[in-house]
Amino acid sequence: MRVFWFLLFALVNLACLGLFVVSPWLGWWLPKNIASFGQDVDNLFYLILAATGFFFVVTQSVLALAILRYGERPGEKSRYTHGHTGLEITWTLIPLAILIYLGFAQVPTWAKMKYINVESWFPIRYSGKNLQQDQSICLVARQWEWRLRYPQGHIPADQNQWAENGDPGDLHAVNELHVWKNSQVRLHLKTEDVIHSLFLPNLRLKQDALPGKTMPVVFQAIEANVKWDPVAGHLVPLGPGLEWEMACAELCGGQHYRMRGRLFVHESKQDYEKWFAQALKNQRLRELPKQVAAREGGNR
Amino acid sequence: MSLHQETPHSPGFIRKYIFSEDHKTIGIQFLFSGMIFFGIGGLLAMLVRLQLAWPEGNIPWLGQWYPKSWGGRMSPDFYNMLFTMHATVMIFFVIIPWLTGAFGNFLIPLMIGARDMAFPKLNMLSYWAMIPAFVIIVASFFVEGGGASSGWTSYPTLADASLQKPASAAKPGEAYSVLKDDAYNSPAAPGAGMGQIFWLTSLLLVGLSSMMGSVNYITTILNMRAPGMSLLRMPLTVWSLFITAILQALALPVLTVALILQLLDKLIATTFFLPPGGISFGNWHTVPGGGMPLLWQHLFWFYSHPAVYIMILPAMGIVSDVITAFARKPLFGYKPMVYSLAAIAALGFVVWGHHMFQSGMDPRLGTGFMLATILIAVPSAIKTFNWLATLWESRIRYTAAMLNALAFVSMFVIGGLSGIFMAATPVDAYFHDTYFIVAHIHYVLFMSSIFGVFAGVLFWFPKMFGRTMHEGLAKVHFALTFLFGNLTFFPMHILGIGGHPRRYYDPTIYQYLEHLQPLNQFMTICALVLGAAQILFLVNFLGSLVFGKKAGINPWESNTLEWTVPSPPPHGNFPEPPTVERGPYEYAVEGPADFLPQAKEKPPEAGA
Ligand code: HEM
Ligand SMILES: [Cu+2]
Ligand SMILES: [Cu+2]
Repeated sequence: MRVFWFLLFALVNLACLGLFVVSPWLGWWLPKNIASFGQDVDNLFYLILAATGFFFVVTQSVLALAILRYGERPGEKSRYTHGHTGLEITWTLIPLAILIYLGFAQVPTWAKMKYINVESWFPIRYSGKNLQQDQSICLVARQWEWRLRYPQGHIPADQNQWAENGDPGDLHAVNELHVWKNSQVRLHLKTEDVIHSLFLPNLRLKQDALPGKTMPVVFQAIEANVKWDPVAGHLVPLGPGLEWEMACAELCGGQHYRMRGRLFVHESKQDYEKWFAQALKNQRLRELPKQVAAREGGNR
Repeated sequence: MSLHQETPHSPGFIRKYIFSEDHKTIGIQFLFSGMIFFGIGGLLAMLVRLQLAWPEGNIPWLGQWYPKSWGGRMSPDFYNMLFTMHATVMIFFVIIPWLTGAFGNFLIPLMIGARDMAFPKLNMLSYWAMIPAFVIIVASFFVEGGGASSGWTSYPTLADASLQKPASAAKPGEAYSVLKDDAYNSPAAPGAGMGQIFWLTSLLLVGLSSMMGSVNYITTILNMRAPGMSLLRMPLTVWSLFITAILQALALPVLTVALILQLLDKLIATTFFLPPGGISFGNWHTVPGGGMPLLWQHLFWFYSHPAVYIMILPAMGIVSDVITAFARKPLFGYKPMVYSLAAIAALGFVVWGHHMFQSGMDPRLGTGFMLATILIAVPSAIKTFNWLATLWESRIRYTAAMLNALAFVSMFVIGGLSGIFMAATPVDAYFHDTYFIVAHIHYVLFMSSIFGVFAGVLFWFPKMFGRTMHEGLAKVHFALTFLFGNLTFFPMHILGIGGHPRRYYDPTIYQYLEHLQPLNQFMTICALVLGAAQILFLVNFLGSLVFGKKAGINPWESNTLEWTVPSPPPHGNFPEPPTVERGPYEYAVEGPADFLPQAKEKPPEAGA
């Protein structure tokens, strides 16, 4: 039986390890990264994966080996010992050092993601300066959709004021987030009702929308997936499989799972502007702006 | 203590089994009610898994039972209710009551050599506060709108929005509607109405029960130890229960306050968690608020992070005792083991923000919480290494209890390591609220804590009932649980890496998740086997109560005090108050037997 238990522990853990090895090849892995800071995030993930993978292999091997080697034998006793100070110190300090390193290694990337300037990674100093910005978008979550508002001229004069009240000239959209490649985007994330969470897997980005607050969200997409076709009057994908989605990550009621949106990254600012002009024209034609502006304006 | 000097009188049936003040009976009551709820929580989980595997609703057989109005597939609100109640039941009605209620009650006095708890009446009340909690949580499934459906975390404003009339709609001079008409109902979700009110009330009672228990455990351990039982001679089970009780006593008031505030929000339209601007659902506008939704998260996690340690520290203690007894070797590093328990508990109070990295909390604060959280992995690592060192050069007896304890060690490693990914703020931005965290939860709570519970039940069953559980059956149960548990929960890490959000009724509408669906189906099939395997444990448990082999006083040749009294121990536990002479882990000692019990050898005529 001893061997059986050894095999059970060893094989199950080996299978766990194996799953992590084969999954990337099967495509069960991180979706394609398109964020400027995404590679940093992925690298941190791999760093932690390496560190934890190492400890996983060591501890599980020791355990499995102990199960195999140290079965009860008649007439034999275990080694009588109550511990070993040197060992305790060793296995406290080594993980401590590794973990502290892992911790501080996160700081610069976190700062990049969260729109704060960090001067050096240790000691941590945030300067809180605003980064450069090409585009403002207001994103209002509600049960169960994402409502977007795009300003004319990409950046309104008074951003905070605009995020609150909007402007009659804004372009409105639902569930469709448009940006252009390499644009430094700042979203003003809001919610009308409950907490939602904006999740863009390809952008490695997640941010809750809090009732009563406007959350800043920044990102820069470094790869494009669409192009505006002015003749046909619609977007054409730049390649197969370049569908990037937007989801809600915080439980927000019955249709939480259905808050699916899409991210369109235009190949250039010009292309985005062509799309924008056409979309705005269509909107005027449909006379939508008045209704929406009236509703939005009346809310707050 | 001296009150009980005369021979124990035998109380009547009701006093003995129902309104019992005997810590052993109360412990066993917690054990039994926990088992009932383990069954309920398990069934809820099966339904969750079925929906995830076949979200289109073409589930053979089950589909017929769905109400007509759902149109052949489960309703999304019902699905939300399922996972909310699953987590609630498992956390508040199974794991905490089992670890602190059942083991805490049964073991503390026996292991420290006391006749009973310090406050037997309070102890009885601590169980009886659970009864209304049981009734209310079960009743909540049947109220209008169904059971609570806002997640076990119950974040406002989803959980506490109410249909109270806005101030503007009130007639002059009329205080705007409180407790009127459909004011209980929620505009946010059907389950956030009466179901949520029941949920809050029930949890308040559970908290009351835990609080009474904690006060009792702390007092008992501090004041009622047998002569010679110094703090640093206590078995780790007692240490872990002691530290858990302190954690609970300090953290619970915060949860209680949070629950009361949310209850007030729901019942009398206070607005503790509603922002000043109010919120709107389509054309429905709430009253303007005076609070903020983030407040709840701080209060909730200030309790619930320590609570996750409440849900594992006792299992760590149990496992330490089981491992030493069956490895026949002293615990490696007793003091580091005690200090690391304390360190986990202490650090546990300053890490709650790691649940809120993406919540809108100041990102700079996130960095601090990240560093504190990462530090918690150090004492966790120390514990793991000491367990492994205990096993090294030992002589293992592969009993079912031992196997479950070994599984705890193995699985806790996985759960602890996955925590580090989410402690890292940038990586957590991706993993937060995905299946990665679901994997983490189940590795620490199911694959660790529940294995700890199985180990503890198998180990102390003889002491509780005077019989042993069937080893063969227990081993089959263990092997199946270990295998299918891993097959069910390990792939969840992969789902998380693929970006699969948690709490999704139907992930297949997302293109980036479609290719993960086979994994979902595989996990569901494994989960069904895993669930079915638990029936073996139940059968073994109940069967052994009647048919189990009779157990002697000390079937495992263990050292701690509970193994010096008859199985089951009489009312008052120790016919003679024991005197403790040494620490609890004297195995592999010189002499004919390889163990040296803690208690001073009794004079021959009293020996048994
Ligand atoms: C090395 C130790 C651990 C670390 C570093 C750690 C870290 C974390 C982090 C960072 C989160 C939040 C993830 C997120 O929301 O994005 C989390 C969630 C969670 N952890 Fe741990 N954890 C550890 C051990 C444990 C233990 C021992 C338990 C329980 C016995 C536990 C239970 C939970 C639970 C239940 C949640 C999910 C709460 C929810 O529903 O959102 N963790 N853990
Ligand atoms: Cu949502
Ligand atoms: Cu936590």
